[in-house]
Amino acid sequence: MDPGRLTYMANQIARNLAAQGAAAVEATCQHLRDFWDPRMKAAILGGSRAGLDPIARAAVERLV
Amino acid sequence: MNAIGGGTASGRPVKAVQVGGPLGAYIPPSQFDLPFDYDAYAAADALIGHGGIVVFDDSADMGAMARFAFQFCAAESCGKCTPCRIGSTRGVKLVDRIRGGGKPRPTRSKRCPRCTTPARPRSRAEDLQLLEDLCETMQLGSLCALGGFTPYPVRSALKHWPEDFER
Amino acid sequence: MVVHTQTPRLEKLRRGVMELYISDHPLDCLTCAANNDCELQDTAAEVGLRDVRYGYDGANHLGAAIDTSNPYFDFDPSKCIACSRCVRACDEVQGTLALTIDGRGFASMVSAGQTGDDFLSSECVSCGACVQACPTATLQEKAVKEIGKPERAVVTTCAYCGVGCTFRAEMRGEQLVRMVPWKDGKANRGHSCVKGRFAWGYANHRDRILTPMIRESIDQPWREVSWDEALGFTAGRLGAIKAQHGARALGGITSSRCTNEETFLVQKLVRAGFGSNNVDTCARVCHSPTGYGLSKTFGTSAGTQDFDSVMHADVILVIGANPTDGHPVFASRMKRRLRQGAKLIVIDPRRIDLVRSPHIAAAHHLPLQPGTNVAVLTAMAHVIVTEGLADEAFIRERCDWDEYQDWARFVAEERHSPETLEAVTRVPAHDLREAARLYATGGNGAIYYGLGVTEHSQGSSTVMAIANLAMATGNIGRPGVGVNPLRGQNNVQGACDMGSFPHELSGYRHISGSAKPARCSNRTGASRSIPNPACASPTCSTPRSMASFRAIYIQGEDILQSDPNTHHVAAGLKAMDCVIVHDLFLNETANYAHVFLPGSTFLEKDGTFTNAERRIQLVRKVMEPANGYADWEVTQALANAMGLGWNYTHPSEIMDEIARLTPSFAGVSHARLEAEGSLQWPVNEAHPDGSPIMHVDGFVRGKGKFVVTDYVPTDEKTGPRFPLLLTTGRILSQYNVGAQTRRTANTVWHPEDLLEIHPPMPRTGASRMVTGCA
Repeated sequence: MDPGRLTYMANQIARNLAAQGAAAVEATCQHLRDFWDPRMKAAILGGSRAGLDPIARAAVERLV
Repeated sequence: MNAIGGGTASGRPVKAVQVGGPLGAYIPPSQFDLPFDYDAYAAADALIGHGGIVVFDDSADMGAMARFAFQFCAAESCGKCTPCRIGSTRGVKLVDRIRGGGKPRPTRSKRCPRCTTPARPRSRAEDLQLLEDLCETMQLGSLCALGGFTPYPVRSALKHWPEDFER
Repeated sequence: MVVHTQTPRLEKLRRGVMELYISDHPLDCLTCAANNDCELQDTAAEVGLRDVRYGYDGANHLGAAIDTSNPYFDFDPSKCIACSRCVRACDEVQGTLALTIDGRGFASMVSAGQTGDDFLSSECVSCGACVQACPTATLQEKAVKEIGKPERAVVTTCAYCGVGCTFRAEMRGEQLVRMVPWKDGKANRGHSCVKGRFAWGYANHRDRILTPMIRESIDQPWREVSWDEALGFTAGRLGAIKAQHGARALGGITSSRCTNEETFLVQKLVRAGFGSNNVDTCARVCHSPTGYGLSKTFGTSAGTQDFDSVMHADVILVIGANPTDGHPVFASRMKRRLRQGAKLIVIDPRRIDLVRSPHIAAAHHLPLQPGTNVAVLTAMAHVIVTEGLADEAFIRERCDWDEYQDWARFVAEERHSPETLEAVTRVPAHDLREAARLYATGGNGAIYYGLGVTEHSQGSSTVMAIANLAMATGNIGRPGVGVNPLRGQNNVQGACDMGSFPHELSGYRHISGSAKPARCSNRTGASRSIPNPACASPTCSTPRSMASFRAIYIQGEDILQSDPNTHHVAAGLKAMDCVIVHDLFLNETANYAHVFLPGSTFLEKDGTFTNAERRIQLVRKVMEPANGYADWEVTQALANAMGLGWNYTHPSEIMDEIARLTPSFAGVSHARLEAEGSLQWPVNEAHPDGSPIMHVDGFVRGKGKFVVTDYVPTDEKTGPRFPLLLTTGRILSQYNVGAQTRRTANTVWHPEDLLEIHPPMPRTGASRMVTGCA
């Protein structure tokens, strides 16, 4: 898994869901849960979270 | 006609009048007592049409006038319905054939098994029957008055001046 | 009143008319292609015509030249009886108005286009409606002339687009003579397009591969082998890879061109045989946003209406679709409704044919900047909410009111006004406002959309924005309204329904969800030890993740051509140890394959397709598979080579299994389809006769859900490195990657792909909108 690509994709999802306000983090997390391959989830959990936007980062943290 | 219209332009005797336009019936002098109203005209197989009257002197060839009716119909036909589209053209040819004394039809080698035609010349009686059948087909089968009224001049000419169809 | 249709007078009249017809008709019945299949001939016999007393020496049209310009049918004016049926078919059924009666009186002749045009150079779209309507051999299929009159017919379903037309495949011996649209087909109602009607020649094309082939590595030449050897080789390789790299190294791609039964078997093979969820389908890149968006908002991953519904629409909104090219048979229905007076709104960067064509003119065309769908739809929502045009009673009754209010507050913000967003969308605010008012207040509003919506980075958001609009205006749950995705391939809907996604089993049951996974796993043998979604489609994986795949089974899709980022796909395929291509032709993807398994055409197998209106229709075998086996038999043989012990003897048994496992298919069986013609899912206890229109009494998910959708600009911007903004479009005569249509005479209309370049726009200087058609 290319961590940069995964970060990019997570941020993209978060940006599309950002307008949901308070629900955005959970919606982003649920999206990763539903649609990401286990390897992708493992990679983003194990990788650096430096490039993640706040919503995406919170969603990844909730994914654990 | 004589009192108001001053007779024929040539001064010769009147042979026929056509009332109602080029598709109106030809009326012989013997019927000149016909009252000028719709019902009386309809009863006499004629029509008022646009009300115009054309007077023909005794030099008129009523067989040629019947032919002209088909020709007029063919020239004006829109082509939408078959009786008028094809019938008018066939009518011109048929009047020619009758007036020409009938001719043997050329035969064709290829024939549809369901539409074969015996290769023999037509008698005058047969051709006159065909003309009457064509008139019926056009009158009843045409979509509008062009094809539907063409039989009026044809039938009236044949009825009152059959001699003009012989030559 | 009593109407008599048979009287001696009428019989004589009919005979008189027939006599006139035949007096201008060639008497070559015995050598005519329509002999014994000719209404003129039949009628002449029926009325008892025995003699054409006019003779045959009069004026006629027998010398008129035959127009052979169309590759599929000839026009022989000498046989024409000027009945105008063809003209009316072109006008009223197809809606192209290409034909007319030229001249008048005896000279009346059917003419395509302007004087001097022939059929090919005219506006004729070769739909075949005129050929079907012709009572004589005037308009006659070339194939009937060449092969002869058909002897038998089998009713089946077209394998081109998502409309799902029903055809009579008319056969002579084992040879297909022609495909004639079936009048009782509920999707097409007796109409057809050039592809389904005529472009079936690929089925017997010499390029078809009929013998299995294998090779050790992709730099070696192919070696033709027996089926046994090919399957043994494949099973051996797959087994070895699984042993060495684990089940997750194996995956499969189902085909949206194959039947539901075949698709189901491929995903079952992947889940039960390979032991992974690595299954995907082309719908990943076309309509997965439809599944996602409509599932979130309404609760069902499919369109809401049947095609008949369009005849009740008052306002038709077409966004990101080009129906006259992509879904021509449905477009003809739509055009008929538009000619009856329904209003049309087109949201598309291009001036598609619907915007202005004979007797059709869009009330509004919003030529948006590509990629700004969400902005346009949000601006429309802004108008509807701020101008008080929303259907509050419907929303209160049918939707979640709190969610609606959140959404309404969001779209009402000034930043979503058409005036503010004009800078982004380039749609004049006034036009957009007028269009929004028309959709909200013009009566029944129906939205139709296609890949211009879904194949964008905000595809899912756009689908939800569309659903929001429909709910806000109460345009859901009855004929004439709804949200209608125009599906691309014949069985895209079915492929999605059959569990072709890593995260979903058949019927959209999430793999980890509570939707009866146990029931599923027992029956399919798919292990519950793999509850997580995986991803097989190369397009949703990074190159490295592709590298973790070692083997892939690809049925009926040329991913190297159809998936985006060709270099990426090629690199992924090249890195694999076993690529199995199961297809009709040696396609581009096969360049990277180790195994080629010959596929069968839709004419060679039984099964079902599901069209864009969720209509499940039978595909019937009209000839034996040239390659020996239908695709489902090949998949089964592969499964058995891997030791799975399947024993389906007919696709109907596979459908029975699907029905047992899939709640929305519970009432579907081949026997019922045979008896009833077609069924629209869901077919179950709640909807025993299927569901032509969905969400009638309430949304499937309960309350309709308004989802806030914000416009997010795409990352794919023009700049020095990528100066052109490219988008794709549809072409009437060609289909998908061209595997089928390029192997037919359809190439006469479209021999090569073209880039259309937008003319310069002086105001903005934006001159670089380019459309590639494929």
